[in-house]
Amino acid sequence: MQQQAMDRFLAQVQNRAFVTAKLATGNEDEALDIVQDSMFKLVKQYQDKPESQWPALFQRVLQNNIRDWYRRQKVRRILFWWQQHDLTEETMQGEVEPNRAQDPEVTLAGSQINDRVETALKQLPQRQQQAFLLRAWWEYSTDETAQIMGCSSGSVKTHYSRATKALQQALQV
Amino acid sequence: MSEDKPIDKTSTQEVCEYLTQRSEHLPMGVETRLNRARMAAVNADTENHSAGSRLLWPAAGVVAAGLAAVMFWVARPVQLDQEAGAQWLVANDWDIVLSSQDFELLTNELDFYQWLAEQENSG
Repeated sequence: MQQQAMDRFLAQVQNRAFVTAKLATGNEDEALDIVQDSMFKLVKQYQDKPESQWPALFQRVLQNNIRDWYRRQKVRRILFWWQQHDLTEETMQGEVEPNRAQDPEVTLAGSQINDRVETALKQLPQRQQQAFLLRAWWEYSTDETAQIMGCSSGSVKTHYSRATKALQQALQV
Repeated sequence: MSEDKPIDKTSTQEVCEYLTQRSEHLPMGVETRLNRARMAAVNADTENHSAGSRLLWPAAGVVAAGLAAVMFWVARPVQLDQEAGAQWLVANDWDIVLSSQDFELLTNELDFYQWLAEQENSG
């Protein structure tokens, strides 16, 4: 019974979780890994918790996994700084960073507006992107978002406000 | 749910509509992999429960051996020369650093669980 409920819950959130992770990582396989790992952790650690707690718990796990991914990228950048240096030079010569790259799937399927939205979202700093997605798209309250992100409500308001301003500017151009 | 109003509702709505549309029309391959991952996660729990009893005895053995080793180490009179003492301190420093990080992580998680429980009780 509990297993069926968990299956239903995960089926409801899996696509949105994938889009969230894909925006953060800019990579389909990485995003799939993050969502899969989040599902396993939720089932393994929290299946016995009340069903009403699953959404917040899942978000917490998902956001922690995304944060861990960022940390690993950071460590990788520090360890292989000379490769990064080469990459930065290439980027300056006109190439686009992997995380900011135009997504072929979006370019093919979407309109010009969709491209602009996608690019604007990807250009947001990680915490702003996180706050915006949780508040505006997942429709969590400021307090819930703060708990999921592990920061104060004031920080959430600041991140969210900056994100909406940045998106507004990017979409008006 | 939302107590602070979005600064620009049009842009926010536009972005949210785009995201929803995107999540509802994922490429077939991605959707299949997500479904497979979900089923694996849900079924893994059942497998873990049945395998749990089989794994219990060897795991208990390992824990008991570990406890015995710790008790032996603690009960033993410690006589360290200066060099060994220095090594012990270095090892201990690492423990402190690592354990303080663990503690910080644990505290963060505890705060979250406490908040979740409060939400549950109030709701």
